[in-house]
Amino acid sequence: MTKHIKILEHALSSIVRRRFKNLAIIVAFAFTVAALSTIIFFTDSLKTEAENILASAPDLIVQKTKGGRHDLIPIEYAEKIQIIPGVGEVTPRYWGYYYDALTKANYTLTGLMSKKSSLELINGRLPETRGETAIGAGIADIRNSEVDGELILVNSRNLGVLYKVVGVFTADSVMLTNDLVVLNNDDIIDFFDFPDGKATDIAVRVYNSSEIQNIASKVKRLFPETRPITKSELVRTYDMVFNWRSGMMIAVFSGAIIAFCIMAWDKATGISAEEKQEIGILKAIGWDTSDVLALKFWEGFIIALTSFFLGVIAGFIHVFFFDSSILAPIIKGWSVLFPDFRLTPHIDLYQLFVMGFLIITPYVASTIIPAWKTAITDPDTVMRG
Amino acid sequence: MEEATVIRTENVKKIYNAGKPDELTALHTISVDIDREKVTVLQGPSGSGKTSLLSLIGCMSRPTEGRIIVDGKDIVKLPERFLTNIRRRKFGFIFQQFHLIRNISVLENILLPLYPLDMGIGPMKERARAVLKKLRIEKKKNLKVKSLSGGEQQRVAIARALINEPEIIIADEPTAHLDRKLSEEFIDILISLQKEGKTIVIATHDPFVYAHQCVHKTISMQDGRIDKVTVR
Amino acid sequence: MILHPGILALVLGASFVFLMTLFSAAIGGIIVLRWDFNSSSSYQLSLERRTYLISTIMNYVLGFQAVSLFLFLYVVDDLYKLFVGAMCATGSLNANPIGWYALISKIAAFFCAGFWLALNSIDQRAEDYPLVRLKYILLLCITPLMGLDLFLQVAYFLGLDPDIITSCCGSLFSESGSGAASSIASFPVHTSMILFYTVAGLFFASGGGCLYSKKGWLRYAFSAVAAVLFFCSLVAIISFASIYIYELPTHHCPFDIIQKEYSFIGYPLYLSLFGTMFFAILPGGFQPLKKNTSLKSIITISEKKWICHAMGWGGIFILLVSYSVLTSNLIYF
Repeated sequence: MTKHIKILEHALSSIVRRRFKNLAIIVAFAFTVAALSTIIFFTDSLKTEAENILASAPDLIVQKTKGGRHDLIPIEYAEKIQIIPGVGEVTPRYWGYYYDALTKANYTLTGLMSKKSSLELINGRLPETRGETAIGAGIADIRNSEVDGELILVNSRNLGVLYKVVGVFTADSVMLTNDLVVLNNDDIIDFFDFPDGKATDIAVRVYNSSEIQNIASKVKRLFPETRPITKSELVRTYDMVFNWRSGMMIAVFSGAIIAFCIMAWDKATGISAEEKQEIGILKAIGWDTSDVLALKFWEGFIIALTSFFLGVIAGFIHVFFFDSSILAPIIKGWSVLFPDFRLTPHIDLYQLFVMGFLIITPYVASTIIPAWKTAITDPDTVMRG
Repeated sequence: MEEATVIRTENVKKIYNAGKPDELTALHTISVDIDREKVTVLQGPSGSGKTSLLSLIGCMSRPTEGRIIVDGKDIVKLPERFLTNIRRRKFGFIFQQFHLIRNISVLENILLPLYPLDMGIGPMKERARAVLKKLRIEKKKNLKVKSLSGGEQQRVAIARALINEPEIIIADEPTAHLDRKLSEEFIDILISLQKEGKTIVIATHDPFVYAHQCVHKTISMQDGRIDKVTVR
Repeated sequence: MILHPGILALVLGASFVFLMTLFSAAIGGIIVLRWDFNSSSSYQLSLERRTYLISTIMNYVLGFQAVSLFLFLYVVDDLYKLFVGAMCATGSLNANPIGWYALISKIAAFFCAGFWLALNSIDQRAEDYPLVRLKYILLLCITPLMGLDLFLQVAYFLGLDPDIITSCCGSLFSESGSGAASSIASFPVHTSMILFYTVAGLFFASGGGCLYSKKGWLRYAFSAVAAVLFFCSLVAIISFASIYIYELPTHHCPFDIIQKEYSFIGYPLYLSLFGTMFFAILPGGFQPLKKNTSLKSIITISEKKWICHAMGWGGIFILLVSYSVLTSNLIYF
């Protein structure tokens, strides 16, 4: 044990003595790690936010389809769903998308589903009567509107409708509400000209979460033209998308990591005369090839670990304290109303471990053969000069 | 083999780069005995093969042909790790240009040979303290080697050679870069070591060394062959 | 392919490892053909030096296989959310029939790499490298196993389809089901406990016997009992340890115990079990090599350490199982 501690000490001293060369490697490596960890922290954080949001989503959403596309659902279906054993609250939902030509942004217009809404966070209040609206902070911003202000939207009959803004959702709920316009149910039906007795979809609460799948099957049997979407399917889809995205990024960055390892190999092979002599001295004074290999392993490992931690810290600070300012333009893309949110600092140890595994393992591996070539230096090279 | 002989070479040959255009026969069929607790000198001009022979005697390389017996054991066929084990336990080396690691401290340089021995940190420090005191360089232990004078570096090199308590000290041209005074100091240290029971083998072409009265046996070499052996 | 970061890490790592093992096997092949211990030529010296390279690579391979075994478990446990009907790693493994084979090949690769390294370590401590040819021939045999490990992992992950409805541990490890897993799950708790502790007792007794006596048959017995203990331990986990951990008499899943809800107790359990098995097979496995005089004393010294390690890890495993039973709120008897 002492032997390994002392060899580790010597490895540290060796790294410090060749600080410029090693610093160059650490900086380049840390930069690559920072880019990768930024992506991972960002998508992981979004995934967590999405999971939190989905926690308040209905257990089951029943949509009607026609020709494979979404269609409005008759409200009477809700009555029939209500009588299925195990079903709690059944609520027809009225909502739709609105394209605002003025700001070239897409809004989500929704009716008030119930008094005890999950949309609690608000400056002002939710709409109580017709002609009133509560809007998201993003919309208030781009339409220069505020509480007691006005909002004019063009309805499906191409007529402008004026609403009084009675509430603006706070920044804390921005992930859910940034592009949201909440109206009275009658206003929404009127705005989109929904036919009588039809709603966008039906939200269903189920008492026992293990029964959700059963109830979804029953709904499907009752109404074959509908598409019941369970919460777990939503979670699964989000999970897949986020995994896909972060996996995609890792796949892309793997190229960068491999390129880096090739560089590491090249650097390790191009050992300086001074370093070669040092190894010769160590061999001459009694170090075995395996001792020198241990020394080289620790050097590589320390560099990789240092770069990894520096890169991860840089990525963490970039995402959670600088709002991913470098990454944001890439992700925002077409979205005008991109939420200006602060992600909750969150580290998933598993993600960190996987990153470390992906980064440190190939780096150390790429230095094995060059390290061995150095370690088999003949001990008598120092004598032969 | 008599107990008096600690190392024996039997018809050793050393060829570098065998089969290549720059093939060089450094030693041609050398047989020598190194006597225990005595000072033996390998003397000859540059290129006579004394460094190559020293390297073989010190278990730093293997001969192309022949046998080398150290303390009754033929070491030629031993795998490298066993050779290294013998070297780190029995031998201490003082190189021509000292070959200290200049950017680390005196203490770190001295302790380096002990790391592979897997000793406890306490005993390591104890030995270092003893050897630094013996060679009168304790006050310089935390200084970087590059800041020391030639004589001080020489003593650090000797300290490093002694730290593993070797039986045999090998010195290759130890006085090549030293003035007369430092050369005398060096010989005095060697004599004291020999009196403690250590076997000393020196390769040199410095007459101040090979003609010194402490030398028991002088092996003169020329072109990779033994010219003559003189025993005092 | 599910572009899951853990999957990428596993596949990339396994690819690296396979390539490195292949490289080592190629050098090993040359060594088998050209090794001449009695030669002191520079070529023989270069072959000797290459043995260091292979040792380093194989150390790395073993380290990777150990980490990736647990990472594989974690990943399949993380993937279950993507499959309808799955609630733990069992569901993920059932989603593609190759899953179980991938897991078994990983375990086999881990043990083979470990055994090879133990053999290498013994050989390197002998002055005449008596096992050189044997160990590099073994390396040539291990290489296809690493390739198989890589192939099965890739085939498993590529074949995963989130649209597949899979079955979870509730049906696989159900007492009323059919199949091996159900048979183990329905093994009577009382009998399973007696069997487990009896075999564990035999294990420690034979280990103690090996420490105090030099008899060769005791080493064989120790390794054989350890192999039996390994299977008894897996049965024990499924049949009784799991129900005490979950505090539910019908829940026998061997994978849910690696989840956060159960304080990840599965990891130290499986780590100690594999550790026990790894060290315990060595004394029996190396006993025939004691016929070689240069190896006898080396193996005798190493054997003591292996036996102590095996008993140490075994002790930890038994303590963990017993602790789970004693501190559980489930009262079965």
